[in-house]
Amino acid sequence: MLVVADLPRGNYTIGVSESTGINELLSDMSYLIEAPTGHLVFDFTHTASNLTQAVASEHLPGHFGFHPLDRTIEQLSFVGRLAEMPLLTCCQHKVSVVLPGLSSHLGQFFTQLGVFELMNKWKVPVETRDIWEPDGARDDETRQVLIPLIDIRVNNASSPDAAQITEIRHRITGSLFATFEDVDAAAQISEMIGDIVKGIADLIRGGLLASLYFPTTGYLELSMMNRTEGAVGSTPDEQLDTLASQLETTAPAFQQVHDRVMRCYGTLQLCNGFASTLLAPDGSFATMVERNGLPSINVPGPRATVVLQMPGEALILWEPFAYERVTMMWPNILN
Amino acid sequence: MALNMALVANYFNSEPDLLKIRYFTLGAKPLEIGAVGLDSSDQDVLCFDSVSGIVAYRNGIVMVDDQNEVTHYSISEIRVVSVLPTLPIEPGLRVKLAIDQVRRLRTGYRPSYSPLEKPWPLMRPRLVSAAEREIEDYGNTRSFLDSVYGRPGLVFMKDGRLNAQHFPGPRAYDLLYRRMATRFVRGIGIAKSGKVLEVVRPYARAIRKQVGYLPFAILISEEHLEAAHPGPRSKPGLRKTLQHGSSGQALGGVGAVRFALSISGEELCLVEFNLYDLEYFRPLIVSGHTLEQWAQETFGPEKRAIYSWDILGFVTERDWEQLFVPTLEEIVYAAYTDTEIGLYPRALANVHNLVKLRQADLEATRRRLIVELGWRGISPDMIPITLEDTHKTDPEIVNLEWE
Repeated sequence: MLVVADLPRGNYTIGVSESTGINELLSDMSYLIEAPTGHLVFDFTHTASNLTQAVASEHLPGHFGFHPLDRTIEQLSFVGRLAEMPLLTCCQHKVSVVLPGLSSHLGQFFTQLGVFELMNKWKVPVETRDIWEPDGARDDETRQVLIPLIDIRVNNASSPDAAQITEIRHRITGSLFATFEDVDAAAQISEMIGDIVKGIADLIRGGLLASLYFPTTGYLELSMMNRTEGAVGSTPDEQLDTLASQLETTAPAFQQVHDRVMRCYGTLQLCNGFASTLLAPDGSFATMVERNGLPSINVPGPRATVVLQMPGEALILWEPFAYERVTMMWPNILN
Repeated sequence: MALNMALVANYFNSEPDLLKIRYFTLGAKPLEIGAVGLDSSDQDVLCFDSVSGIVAYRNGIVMVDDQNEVTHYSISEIRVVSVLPTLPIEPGLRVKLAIDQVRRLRTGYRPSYSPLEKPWPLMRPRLVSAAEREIEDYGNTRSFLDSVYGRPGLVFMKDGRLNAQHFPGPRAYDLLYRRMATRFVRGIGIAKSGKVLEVVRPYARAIRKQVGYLPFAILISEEHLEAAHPGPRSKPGLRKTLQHGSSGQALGGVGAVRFALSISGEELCLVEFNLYDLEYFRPLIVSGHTLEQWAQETFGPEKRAIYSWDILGFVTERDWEQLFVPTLEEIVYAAYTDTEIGLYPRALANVHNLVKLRQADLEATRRRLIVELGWRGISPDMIPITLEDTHKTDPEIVNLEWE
C-alpha cells in the first residue's frame, strides 16, 4: 500500500506486506504516474512473520511459519522490473528497498531465501530496519528453503538452462534425502518436483523461482515469475484467451506438470496479466479475470505457482487418524 | 406459571434516563463522492445428508455516485462448492485439499496448519458456503480497492460487522482496512442485529418520541458493551466481538467505534467505523506498526489485548467533525433518497437484491448438477434435494402434506 506520497520532496514509500500482490503494486504505482521524479522505497518491514506464542501442537495457528511465496515472488519481480527496465516501465524514480533486520525472524528468513543477494545482484540499494516481534514468539524452525531465489535463464529456443535445472534437481534431492527416511520415496518425490520445475520453466519461459517446504506438515510451495516478458494481451479478456491458447500450444509440458501436480495432491495456478487459471487436486478447473481498469504495461510476465501436499515427517509419529493411511500409501500411489 | 402482564407491558412503555447516553440528531449530507455496498448470500442446492451436500453462493458490489444513482455494479456468477466429509479416503482427501489450497491461493494465507492431521469436521454445508463467501467478499474488497473505481472520499459499506472471525483471519482484515484507509475510502460495517442494539433499543424508543421523524445516532459506550457482554473481560466470547489488532485472537477486526443509527421509525442498525480512519491511529499505517506493538508502547508491556473501550479513549474532536458525523449523515442521505426502500442505504439495498439467491436461480443450478450426476449413473430419485425436518410432527402440517 502506498503509505507515503510526498510530492513536493519526491519521496514515495510503498509498504509491502505478506498480502501484497501484483495488482496492489500496480494500483499503487498508478497514483505515481504523474508524480515528480523522486525516490521510491519498497518497505518490506510491513510484512509479518507469522510467529506464534502457542506451544502445544494442537493449538498452532494455520498460518504458523507460513510465507505466501507467490506474493514474495511477485513483489520481488516487480521491484526487479522497475529497477532493471525503467524505460519500459516508465518508472523515473530511484528505486530502493527496506528489508527487516537480521535480528528478526523475518530478516533471517529473507536471508535464507536469498533476498539480500538478489537485491545486490540487481543493484537495488538496501537499507535494513529492526522490526517488532512479540516476546517469546517463535517461528517454524523446521521450514526449509528448498530452492532459494534463482533466476532461471532460457536459451534461444525458449528452453530453460539445462545446467541450472540439473543444479536445482541436485539441491532438491539433497534436501529431501535428509528429510525422508524412505529413500525410494525421497527419490521419487525429488524427481517429481524436479520435473515440475522444468515443466513450469518451459511453460513460462524462465524467470525468478523459489520453493519452500514445511516437513512437519508436508506442505510444499513453488512459485516462478517471468518478469521480463510482460503480459501478453492488452485487456484482461485477451490475456485469458492468450493463456488458454498458450496452454494448447505447450500442451505436452502443461500435461506433464499437471499430471505430477495431481499425483502429489496439489494445485497448479497459471497467470498471465490479470487472468489466471487454477487446477485443484479434486480435478476442478477455474478461470479468473480481474477487470480492474488498470493498464497492464507494468505487469510482469506470466507466473506459475504450485502447492503440493507431501507426506509430512511427523505424521507417522501422530496417533492414528483417517488420512494417515493415504500418506502411508503414497509411495505406491506415486508409482 | 401465571404472568404479570403489567410487568411485561414495561417493555413497551418504560422511559429510560436519556441523560445516561450520548445521542445526537442527524441531517442528510449529500455523498462526497459516492458510496459502495458489498454483500453476499448462500443457499443449499443439494442436501445429501445433514453434513454432506452441494451449496451455492454469490456476491457483489454496487456503487452509487454523489447523487445516489447506481453507476457501477459487479455481481459474480453463482458458485458452487461440494462438502463431502464422509467420502472414502482418497477422493475425500482430494476434495478437502482442493478447498484448502484454493483458499490459500486466493487469499495469500494458509487456512490450516496441517490439513492431513485431522479429517473434515462434520458440519452443516451452509457453514462451508458462508466461509467461502466471506473469502470472496475479502477478495472482492481487495479487487475494488485496487481498481480504478476505488477513489478517495468513497464510503465503503459492508453488510455486517467489520469483524475478523472467519478465514483469512485478523491479520488479513487488519491489513485490508489499513489499505482502505490509505486510499481514503471510509470503511463502514452496517449490521441490522446484535446484542448491543438490544441494550440501547429502549433508549432509541424514548429518543424517537422526543425527536419525531429526525434520524439520530447513539454512541455505543463501554457501559453498553459491558451490558451486552457481561462477565469477566477475559471471557473468550468477548474476544470475538471486541478484541482488535492482528493477533490470532483479535476476532473483533477493525470495527472499534460503533453507533446505533436510527434513520426512521423504530428501525435501528449498528454502524461500525474502521479504527484506522481515526486520526490517532493513522500513523500506524505509515510506520507499519501493529496495534499490539502500539498497545505495549502506550499501556506497558503487560498489555497484550486491545479491546474496543481501549480505542474509545483515543477518539478526537476531529474524528467527530470530519469522520463520524459527516459519514453518518451521508449514510442517512443514501437511505433517504432511495425510492425503493427508504430505510437502508441504496447501494446496500441494491446489492442485497442482486446477490440474493432466488428459487429460480437455485433450481437451474440444481437441475444442472442432477443432470451431471445422471451422466455418472446416479439416478435422480437417489439424490435428496432437501433434508427432512425431524421436528415436523405437527399433525396439521403432516396431514396437509399427505393431502
